[in-house]
Amino acid sequence: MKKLLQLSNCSMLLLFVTVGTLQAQTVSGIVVSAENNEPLTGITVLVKGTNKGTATDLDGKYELDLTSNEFQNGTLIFSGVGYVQLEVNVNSRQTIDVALSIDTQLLDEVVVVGFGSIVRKDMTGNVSSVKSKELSSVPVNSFETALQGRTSGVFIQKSNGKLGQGINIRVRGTSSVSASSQPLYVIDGIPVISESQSQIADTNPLSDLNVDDIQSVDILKDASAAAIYGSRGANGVILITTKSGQAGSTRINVSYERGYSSETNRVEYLNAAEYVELFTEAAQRSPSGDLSGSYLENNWFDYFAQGTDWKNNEIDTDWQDESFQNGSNTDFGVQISGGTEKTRFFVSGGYSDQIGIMRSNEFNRMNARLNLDHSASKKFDVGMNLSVSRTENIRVSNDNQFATPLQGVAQSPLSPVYTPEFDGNDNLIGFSDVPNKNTLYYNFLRHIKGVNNNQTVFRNIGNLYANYNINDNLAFRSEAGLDLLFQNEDYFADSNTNTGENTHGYGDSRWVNLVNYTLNNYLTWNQQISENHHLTTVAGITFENSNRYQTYVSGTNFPTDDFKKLASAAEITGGNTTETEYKYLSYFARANYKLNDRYLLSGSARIDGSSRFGDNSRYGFFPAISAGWIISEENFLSDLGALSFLKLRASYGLTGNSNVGNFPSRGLYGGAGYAGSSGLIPTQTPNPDLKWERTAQYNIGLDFAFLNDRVGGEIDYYIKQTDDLLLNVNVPATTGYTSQLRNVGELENKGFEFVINTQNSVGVFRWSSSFNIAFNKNKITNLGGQVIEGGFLNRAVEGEPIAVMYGKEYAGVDPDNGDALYYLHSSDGKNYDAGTTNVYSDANNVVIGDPNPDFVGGFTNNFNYKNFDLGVLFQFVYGNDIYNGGGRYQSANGDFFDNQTRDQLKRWQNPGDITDVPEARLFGSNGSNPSSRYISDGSYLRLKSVTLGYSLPQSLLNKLQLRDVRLYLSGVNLLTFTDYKGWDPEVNTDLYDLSDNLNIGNDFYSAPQARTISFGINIGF
Amino acid sequence: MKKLKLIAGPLFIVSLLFTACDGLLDTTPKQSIDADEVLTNAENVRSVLIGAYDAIGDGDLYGGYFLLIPEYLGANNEFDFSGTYFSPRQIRLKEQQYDNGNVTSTWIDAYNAINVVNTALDGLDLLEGAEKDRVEGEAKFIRGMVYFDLVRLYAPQYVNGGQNTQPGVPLVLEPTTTIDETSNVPRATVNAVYTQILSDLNDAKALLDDTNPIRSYYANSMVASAVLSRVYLQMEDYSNARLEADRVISSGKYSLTNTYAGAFNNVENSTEDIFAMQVSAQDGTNSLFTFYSADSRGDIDINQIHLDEYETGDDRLNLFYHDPDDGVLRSGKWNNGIDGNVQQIRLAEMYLTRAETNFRLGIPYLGDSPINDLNKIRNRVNLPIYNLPSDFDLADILKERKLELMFEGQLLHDIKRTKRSVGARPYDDPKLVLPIPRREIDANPKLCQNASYQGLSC
Repeated sequence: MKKLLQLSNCSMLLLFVTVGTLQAQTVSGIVVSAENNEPLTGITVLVKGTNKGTATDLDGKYELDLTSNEFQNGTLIFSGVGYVQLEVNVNSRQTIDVALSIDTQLLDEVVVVGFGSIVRKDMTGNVSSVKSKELSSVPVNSFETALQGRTSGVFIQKSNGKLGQGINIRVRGTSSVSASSQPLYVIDGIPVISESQSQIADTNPLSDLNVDDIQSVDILKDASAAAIYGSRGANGVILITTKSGQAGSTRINVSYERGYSSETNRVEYLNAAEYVELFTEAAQRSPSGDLSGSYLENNWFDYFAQGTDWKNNEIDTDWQDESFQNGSNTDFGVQISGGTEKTRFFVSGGYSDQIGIMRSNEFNRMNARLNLDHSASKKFDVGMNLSVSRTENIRVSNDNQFATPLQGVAQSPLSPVYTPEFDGNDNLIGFSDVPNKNTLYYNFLRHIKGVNNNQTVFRNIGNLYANYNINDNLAFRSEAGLDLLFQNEDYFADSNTNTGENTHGYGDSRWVNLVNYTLNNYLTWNQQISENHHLTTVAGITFENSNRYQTYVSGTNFPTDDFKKLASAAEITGGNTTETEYKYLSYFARANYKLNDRYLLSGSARIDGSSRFGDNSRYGFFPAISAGWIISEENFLSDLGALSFLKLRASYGLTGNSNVGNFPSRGLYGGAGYAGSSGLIPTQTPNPDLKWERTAQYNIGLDFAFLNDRVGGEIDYYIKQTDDLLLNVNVPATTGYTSQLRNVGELENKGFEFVINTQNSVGVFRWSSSFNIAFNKNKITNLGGQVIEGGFLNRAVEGEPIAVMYGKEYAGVDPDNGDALYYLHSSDGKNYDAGTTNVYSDANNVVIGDPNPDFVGGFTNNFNYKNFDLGVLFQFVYGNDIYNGGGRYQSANGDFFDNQTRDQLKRWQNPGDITDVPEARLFGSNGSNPSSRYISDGSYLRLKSVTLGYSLPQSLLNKLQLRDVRLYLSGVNLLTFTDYKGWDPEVNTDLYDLSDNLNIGNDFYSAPQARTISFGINIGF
Repeated sequence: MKKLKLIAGPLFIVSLLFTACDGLLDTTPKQSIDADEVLTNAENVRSVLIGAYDAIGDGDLYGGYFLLIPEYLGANNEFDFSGTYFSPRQIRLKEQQYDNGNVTSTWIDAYNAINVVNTALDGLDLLEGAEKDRVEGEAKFIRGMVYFDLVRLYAPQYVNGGQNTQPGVPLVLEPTTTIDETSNVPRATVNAVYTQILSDLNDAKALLDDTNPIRSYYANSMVASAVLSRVYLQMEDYSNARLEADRVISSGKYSLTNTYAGAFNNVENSTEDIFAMQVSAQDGTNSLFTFYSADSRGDIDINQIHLDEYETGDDRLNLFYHDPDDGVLRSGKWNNGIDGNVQQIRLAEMYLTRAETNFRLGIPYLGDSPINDLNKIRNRVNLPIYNLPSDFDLADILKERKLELMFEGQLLHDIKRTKRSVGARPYDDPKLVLPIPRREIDANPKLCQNASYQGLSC
């Protein structure tokens, strides 16, 4: 009986199988991405209502056996991380190909956090992410620029339109006064060099990166996310992950792009006739008496004209024509990826050549990368990421030098650009190719012709890792990273330049060798404790060492201008080598706990030791805690039809900032030489108690999604309070020192961030939008009575936002006499009742401007129709003021002979005239002293990028045997809406160090941004 | 059990990796040494003294602005400042504000130099014998000279016979080791500052040899006397000024150069240089070149009215030239910007001081008669010599002094001590005194401001 039963069971089974086989129908197909028709691997295909399913293979293919019922009436569910789930009725079809569209709500996307990653849905902190597709869609030479407008609460500003120049990034406001507020950059787990190494204006070491190599950028904004980076987390952390290979057939991508650029804007200056008119009037009305007539004409106009006929405007130079040139860029890239299950690789190479919009400015980059992952066994993975690059920046001079092209606008329009030539009757017959030496200021073209100013950077970032899965739950990972940066600045000025004319040429060469290495070792324990409890923990140690070595040599007296290297310098005038280093040793741990898929709890801690700090406070402790509640998982909410996801988050944590010099706590003496003998001088007084500044941050946030995730977003509110500010406290100079770095003072950033993503249309015509806006309010709450000055009018003042502009408030022009007026105010603040004065020094200084924006944000729209795609990004900044440091020279109603902006023609001329431009008075300083006259609103709305793409249809691709081909046309900075009077509102002069928090919102003949139009092609094999 | 082993092995390795090594964080500065290592040996003390010379050679002090400011403030119409730098332009126009950049940096660098000198003086116990005297003498010479220039620029003129309780400048005589409340030093009286200057310079005069044994261009006893003669002259203490000037002249160490032009733009000190800041292509600053020379900014435009002050045939006129770029007149005294030394005191000044003081004090003359001393100066520049004492008066002596020393940083100080005026401004016009810098008033609540400037008045 028992046997029989067995047999019958067997036959039942056999029967069942036979029946199944008989009635089974096979359905197969290929799953691709709707974005780019790329096959998708690992997409789950499930028969609805059953556990029956499979996954797509490396080529996106699947095959599934269905019962006849399923074949006729069943439904397949296609789902995968990052894609919108799709349900398809089988309807007796044997082939079902589907295209999955990307889920813009990204609730399932994997977010990289320090020492691990997490699914966005389970996150309790605040992290902004940008993926490779968004990054590569805009032609830019640095990835940060591509982040502009796409990441909420991250303010990104290029300092000017020179190539490779420094960039300002502020994550949730400025959280320091004297220490740098730039974020920490981590590439593939390794902190990298991001500070400028240039001896002149700041450059951006991150421009050594190839944007095409980047898989994702994740920005840790709140304390619960950033506290794992401890004493360097307070300014936010930018985690960059590079691409890695996937097992499967080898894929080759080739891209080419060609672009053309020009300046976003020009400013109107006086032409020759207007110049003569204004300065004749100014000379007549000079406080030194009537200076028109022979003094003005012989000493000045004749001198400018250099023998040409200024009375008939024979020369009418628009110096902006000389300063700007047509820019262009050519970019070429190849990426190859693939591999087997055991070994995956990603190889890329790129070449980028850019010609800037400022005369003689060029930048080019060559780079290569190999990312390799190997699974030695099921338990053991090893790999390495290695990149090499060389960038060359042919630079123009810093702002505030007449050698920099744009400062040429200060020259008189009466001056010829090149030396004029005359016939025997003194008639102008042409110009030589020698720049005119007799101009009001040094003619920058002499510099362009006679100066080599090249910065070359060799960069090598590499890291090795080994990952060992001790068991299913416990893994040990070890990472070693190396960041090598070798930079040469080669400078030569020939004997026709102001730098070299007295010394038969001048040359210098400076090498910076930077070696950073990092060791990370950590254990990850990941366990589903029971059905409802899930715990992930990580704990480890990290050590970082940075060593910087610099050599410098300078020399003069070259045989001829053809000799440009120091080997030919008869006199070596200077030389030195310097070396410095810093180290960090840190211990960290983090735990994430999830209960019932809806209650989230996370805690982290880091102990940081730094060589930078005093013996009395070498180690600091940085804890953070956060919690989340996925309300939509609760039963009481499960029926709210439209609402598909709702999560409440809250976090609190401490982070630090230690972005200061390497030996700030010590009393130091440095070398000094006199007449060939060496000496010693004190350079710094000791402060053994010095420690990092501490930022406590509270964050509360809400994540939501409606209508099957077609509408979703995030709302966050935060308070960041920084105390123990690292402050360069002014001390009486009678001590022999001017400042001392101390932990004094407090400041606060409060803000609100709002992100909304929508899919407005799905199907054949797809339209998605993303909008973000971030408000931040900065306030210095305590400075211990200190007043700290920065660039131009910038100051740190208690009770005010950082770097407010402080000075005299301009009150316009006295209609009776044309005098510039200033509000008197009172010594304790604004008081308009006190009236006005025409004596500049009698007016009290008050806060007259705030360079911090009230809010920043962006608005992206992406459209897809058949093979066409269109992306449009607007970016905006609102409520910040800009001080034009050059205003007192260029908009000074004819105070000195600098050419004037055209608006100065509106000067006061007769009693009763109502205008805001005072009477023109040569040498009269009538309204030209620094005041709010030169402050204007820097708000702007910019059409940051527009990209129109066309992908070749599959049929054609098949014929051509190509995987995909996309052609595109792209524009950057096409339109700017602003009231700013200068060239471009996205500006901060490179005259000062960019990491200086007290130099913001200043313009000084700064190069405007470039407007670029480019076309490109991507080909996939 | 097996499982435990499996975990324990790696854990042991991991724990090794995790072992803390505090020593890992030790770093040492490579371009600096720790402050507490400095005053531990004699060599370092000697080095700090050299550091002090470097400090006073700065472009804001004796490499430039200590010599530029008295000309800017003392000029009426002799020259204009045509450059775009606002700070010197303000000073030339006597419109300097209390946040003027040069007013600020000269103050800062002067006290920086004083702190270096005070440090050297603090280390004297590490030295012995003659070397101890030499270092002390040179250090006190530098300190006395810097305080003299500070008090002349930043405080009202010394009043001969007065109490001189008007505020001078803060007196700091100890090196700074920590910065606290006691670092807020108030302004000492003009009297106290001059007392300190005299004490330092007289100590230097006594401690130093007539020739410096280390380098000829370091300070010596004669240099101290030369500066002392200036100090006494500024105090209208003519007999002491005469004594010191005569001591320098009669030492025979120095002689006038053959030509007037030969006294300037020298790479090595000339026979006439009593003290000069050394400049080489590698080292030192000559900011006077920057503003005076056509080869540099050429911001100081000499007016014809100044040339008219010279007598016909005066060889000193030949040092002026027309700027090849714009035809403007320039002084040729500061034309070597690469390695031309910056002369501070020349023998010619000693002759003029002795002539003036002998003239004022009358017979018996010390050293030589005013007519002979003046003729030494006039003879060199091809001017007719005076034959009789009645051929000249005090005004002529002062004019000779002005023309001889023009553009060398004495103009304002001579005007003040002789109570003449700068154009319409009397010698005690408040704008002929610099303001205490704003940053200093902000940092030190114990400071008060000079008349006519922003900040709490004294």
